[in-house]
Amino acid sequence: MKRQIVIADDHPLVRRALSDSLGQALSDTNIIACASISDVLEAVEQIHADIDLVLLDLDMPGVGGLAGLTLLQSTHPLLPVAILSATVDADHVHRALSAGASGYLSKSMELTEMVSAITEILAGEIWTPSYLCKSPKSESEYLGDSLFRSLSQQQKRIVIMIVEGRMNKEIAGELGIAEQTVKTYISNIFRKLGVTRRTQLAVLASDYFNLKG
Amino acid sequence: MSSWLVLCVAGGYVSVLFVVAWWGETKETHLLDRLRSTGFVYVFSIAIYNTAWSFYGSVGRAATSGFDFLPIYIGPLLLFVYARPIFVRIVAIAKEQNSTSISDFISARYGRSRLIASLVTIISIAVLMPYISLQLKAIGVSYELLTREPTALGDQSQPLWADSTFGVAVAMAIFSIIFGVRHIQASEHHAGFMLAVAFESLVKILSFACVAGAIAWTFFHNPAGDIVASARDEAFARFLDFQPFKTSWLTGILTAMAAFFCLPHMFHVLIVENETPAHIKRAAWIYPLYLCVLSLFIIPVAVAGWAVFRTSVNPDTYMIILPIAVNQPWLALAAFIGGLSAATGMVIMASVSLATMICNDLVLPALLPLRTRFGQNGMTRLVLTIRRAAICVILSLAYVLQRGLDPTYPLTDIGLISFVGVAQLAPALFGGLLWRRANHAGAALGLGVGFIIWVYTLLFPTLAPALGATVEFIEHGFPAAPWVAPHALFGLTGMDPITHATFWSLLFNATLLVVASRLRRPSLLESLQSVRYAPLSRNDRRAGQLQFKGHIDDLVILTSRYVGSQAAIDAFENFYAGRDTFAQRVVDLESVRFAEYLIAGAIGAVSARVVIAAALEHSSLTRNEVVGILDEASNAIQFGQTLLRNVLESVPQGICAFDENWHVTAWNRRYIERLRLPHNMLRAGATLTDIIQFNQTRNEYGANDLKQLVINRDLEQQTWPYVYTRHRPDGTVLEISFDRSADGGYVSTLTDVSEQHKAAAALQEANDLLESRVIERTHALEQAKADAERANTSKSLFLAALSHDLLQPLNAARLFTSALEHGASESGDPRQGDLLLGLKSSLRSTDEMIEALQDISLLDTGNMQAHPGPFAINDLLEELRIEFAALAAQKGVSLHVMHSTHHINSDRGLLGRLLRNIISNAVRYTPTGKILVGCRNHGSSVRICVLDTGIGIAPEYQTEIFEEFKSLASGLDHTQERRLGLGLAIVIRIANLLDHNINVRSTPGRGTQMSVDVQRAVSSSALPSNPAILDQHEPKRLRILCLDDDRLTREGLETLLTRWGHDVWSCASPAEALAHIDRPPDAAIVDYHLGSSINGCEVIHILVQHWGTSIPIVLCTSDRSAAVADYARKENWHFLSKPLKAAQLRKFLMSVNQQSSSNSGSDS
Repeated sequence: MKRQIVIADDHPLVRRALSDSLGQALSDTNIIACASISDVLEAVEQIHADIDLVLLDLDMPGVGGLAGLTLLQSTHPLLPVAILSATVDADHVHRALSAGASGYLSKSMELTEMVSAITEILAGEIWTPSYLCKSPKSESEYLGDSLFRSLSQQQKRIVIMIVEGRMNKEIAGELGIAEQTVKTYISNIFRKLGVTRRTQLAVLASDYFNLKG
Repeated sequence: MSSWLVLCVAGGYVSVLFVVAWWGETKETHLLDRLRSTGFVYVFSIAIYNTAWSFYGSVGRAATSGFDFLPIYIGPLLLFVYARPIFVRIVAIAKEQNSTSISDFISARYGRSRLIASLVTIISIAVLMPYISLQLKAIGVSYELLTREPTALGDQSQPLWADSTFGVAVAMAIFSIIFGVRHIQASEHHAGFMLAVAFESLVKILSFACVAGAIAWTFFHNPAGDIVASARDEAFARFLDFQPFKTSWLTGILTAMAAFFCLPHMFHVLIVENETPAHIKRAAWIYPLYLCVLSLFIIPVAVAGWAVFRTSVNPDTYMIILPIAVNQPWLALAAFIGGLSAATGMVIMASVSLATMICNDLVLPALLPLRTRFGQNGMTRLVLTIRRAAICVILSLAYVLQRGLDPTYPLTDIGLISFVGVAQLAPALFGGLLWRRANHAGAALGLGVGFIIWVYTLLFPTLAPALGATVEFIEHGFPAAPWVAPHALFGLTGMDPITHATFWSLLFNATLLVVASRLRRPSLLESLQSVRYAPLSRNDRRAGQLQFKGHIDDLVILTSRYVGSQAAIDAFENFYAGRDTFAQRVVDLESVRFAEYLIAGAIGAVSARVVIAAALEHSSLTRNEVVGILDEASNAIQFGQTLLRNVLESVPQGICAFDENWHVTAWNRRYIERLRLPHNMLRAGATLTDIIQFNQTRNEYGANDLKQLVINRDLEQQTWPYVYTRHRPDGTVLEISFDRSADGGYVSTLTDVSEQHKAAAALQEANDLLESRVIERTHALEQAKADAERANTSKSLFLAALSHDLLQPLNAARLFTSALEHGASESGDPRQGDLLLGLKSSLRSTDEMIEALQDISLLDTGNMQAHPGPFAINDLLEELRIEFAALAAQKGVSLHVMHSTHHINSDRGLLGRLLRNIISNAVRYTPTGKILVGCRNHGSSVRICVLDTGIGIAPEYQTEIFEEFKSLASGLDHTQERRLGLGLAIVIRIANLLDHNINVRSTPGRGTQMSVDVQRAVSSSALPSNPAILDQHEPKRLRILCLDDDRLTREGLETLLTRWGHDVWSCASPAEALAHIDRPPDAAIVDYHLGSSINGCEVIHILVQHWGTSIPIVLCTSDRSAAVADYARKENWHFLSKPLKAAQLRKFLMSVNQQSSSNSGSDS
């Protein structure tokens, strides 16, 4: 059975280059190229458990940055997602891993290197560029991270929807739960994150998710 | 005592006088200043009042008449105690009138009457001649006594050359000529001369005190045998018989008081030489003290003398005889010196002041018509000559007179005669000071008659023997007319001759003064002067005006000489305009003052006073004569005034002078033009207020101008000159300046500064324009700078965006290349492989460049932040070694990285990037040789060095290389890729960001050493090397239950999970699981198909129930149906389909880790 790898990149040229070269370099692998998170979600819904890995670009239109990763995590917790980004720095890598990424790959890697990284990730390893080490940042900078990590998957999903500007009714419809339940979720989220209003939440969350580059 | 010794001592004393006078005249020492400023000189010079008469004569008088010697001392004492204001006033008037002698002073009071001046001088001569000869006689007698036997006294047969008195007279004449008539000064002050006089007074009192003290001690403390006790008691008795209310006492005191002021030499030292009223104040207690000391010492000498000699010797000679009698020649010598000093002091002072008076009041007026022949210098020389001659004549006469005097004639009597004579000046003097009506006629008559009576009643009887008059006549007159007897005039008897003479002379003198003054009206000048001597009281002014003879036209004509005829007529018309009738147009004090003040405007106050005085002196002359005199007097002034007027008119400024009361005194035409005043507006006597009022009526002033007007100011506080500018309504600008003039008035100057103002305004405008331009330009520049900054920022942002977007297709290109390479290696075409290699290399190069650009832009926009922390440098160096080893090897350059144990404080990532750039450059520019990377201590930092044996950098480029886009073109292998010189620019930026020092040392052709100084970490001891990111995400050790009936799966899981560092409990069946595991694991991986009666779901339920807690669970199945998956989702379990995938498992374990670390899940 062929391996299923989803490549999510909004840049068509890159998407094609990746799918072509990886498709050629990785044997027995089916590459599914997606241009957005929603495409990815769609693909995942279709073939669900058979997807071996999602290679997600950080800089995507729509749900960008770590939000895409978080969104995928919240719906498919065991789906391995690796970040494939043009920007490689310790901060990004660290936050991506904290958010549950299975690896962090640089687009400027040699193809062979990339292939071996993917292979390792598929083998259950977590891969990052070897030379990076964590900058000793102060705890407060990761406060947001730890706060968001404390949210449940459903809560994270709702947070993303709030950031996207959806109404409670829409969220309830999307998640198939009662609007009252959404409200309960939200008040729980507020309590956990220490915010009192929707806009504060949106600001905090977009700060967290928004990884430029 | 030998005569030569006495002569020597006397000569020596006179020499000392010369020295003292010379010292005082020529030196300016501090001591001298002190002596003068403290009044010492003044006070002691007053003591010339005490002449040889006091020194010798008073002793004699005391011996014969007890306290009768006192009146002449009580007089001055009373004056000093009670009449000090009179001193001060006389001094003030004398200074104002510039009086240099008593004759000057008195005649000035009476309209500068030449007659009065002559009279006073003649009286002074007549009075002083006997007085001076008295002094000479005293010297002569004392000399005789010292050098001869007392019995030989009175022998006059010696020849002239042997007469010591003659020698003294000559010496005095020389001294007076040298020091008293040195030069002519307005003030007639003689510094050295006065010092000598003061010195003499000091010697006098010291010598008298010594001698008298010694005599007293000798005769009373240790009585000598030759004292006759009865005689002593007799002498004492005289002092006990004290009758102070005798007429002789009264006249004595009165004449002394008069003489104290009126003696010419006393007037000189008291009044002329006075410098400040403070000195009078000081003299007022020192001089009385001097007199008291003197009087006190007179008594013992008199008593002792009487006790020893009675009348066997002249009592006047006791001072000399007594020491000789007790064989104390040195004491006698001291007395002689004292007497000498007393006599000479008076002689020189009197002769000098007499000479001045003779010269000024008798000789010069007679010579005045000749003055044009002499000229100024000639006049000076003439005056000096006359004075010197006068001194010689006076002293010669005195000497002759002295020889003619009876040596036994009491000194006191001669002195008193002189005093009575000089007292004749007193009515004129004090009358003039106290009574304003006293006039010239009264004074002249009084003086003349008083003088004649004095001569007749006192001088004539004294000289009678020489003139052949009999004693009978003197005492009783002609038998037919007994009332003519000089000693019993008009039958008045029963008085001593002195009192008698005093009574009659002063009676006539004063009476005539009063009567004649009342009968005659004073002249104009006299009236003016009388006001100066005896100021008008308020009553006087109100009561009526002093009127003078003369006509108003005289004044008008006089004034017109100076201010022009029309102006004078206008001024006087105006002056009289306020008066009711024409009849009141008389010449009075006010009109004279008005005239004086008009003239002062033209020629100055001092000159005006002279002109008026000159005119008034001759006011009895006809009008034509006035004009004539004035023409003569003012010819010189006229010339000066014309010149002045011409100058005034030619000055471009408008000028107007005011007096102290702001009355206009002078102006020029331009002043009128500048102010546009009507021509009749300005006239003498108009006030500044008039001008201002006129200006106000035609709205000349702005609101601000009014505040600036000088009359609105506090003139006391005002600093001069006061300048302000005024903008006139017609647009012209005047600069108006007020300044004080020397005579207390003000001078206003108008300058038309319109042009300057226009220029200044233009300048100001230009300035403003310039300023606004500068502001404009500055603004533009700031704008440009802001634009540039914005452009720079947007450039950086643009670069950041661009590089990101560039990187995307570039990455794509690389991937395509890789794919192509993959295909090529399969096809095995070597040519294609080369091409691909080139392609890859160029892509990598582009990539690097874009990354560098990105870094630069991040650094420049401040988006790159440093997060320094301690770490072991070796880890970083090892990373770099690995990274560059391949590249270096490819180039054939050996790369050595020295092991280091240093710990440093820096941002690991940024420092890595910095070093990467340096090493990368080293590799690039080192064609052959080696590269060495290492650390060493450098002070408190660690220096990380990168040395290469490359092409090096020329010194001039060593700073330039850090700039953007600079790279060293020279020496580059053309086959090597060229790249933008961004590497070192990044290095310097990161170094700045991290606050690290970069050093470059390079020798072209030999190699380069670049180094970074990094701060050493505080604790370098046991810092763990920083874990890589991955290590931080190392999962915790979990206990995982794997329940699967398939052995292979179990083993696979076990291997995998163990490798990831977890504990695995593999169970093949639910029973095994339940049996072995009594406490819950951290997670469970359960197969759905367990090959037994119960499925995974049921087992999980049982296990969870058994453990009493829910744990993360993965349900696995190879069943592709959705039912199991849905069940799992419903139970909130994870679901994985088989075959299990490692990545998914890892993901599961990661989520377990995350959940356990963040204790959440309760609400999900």
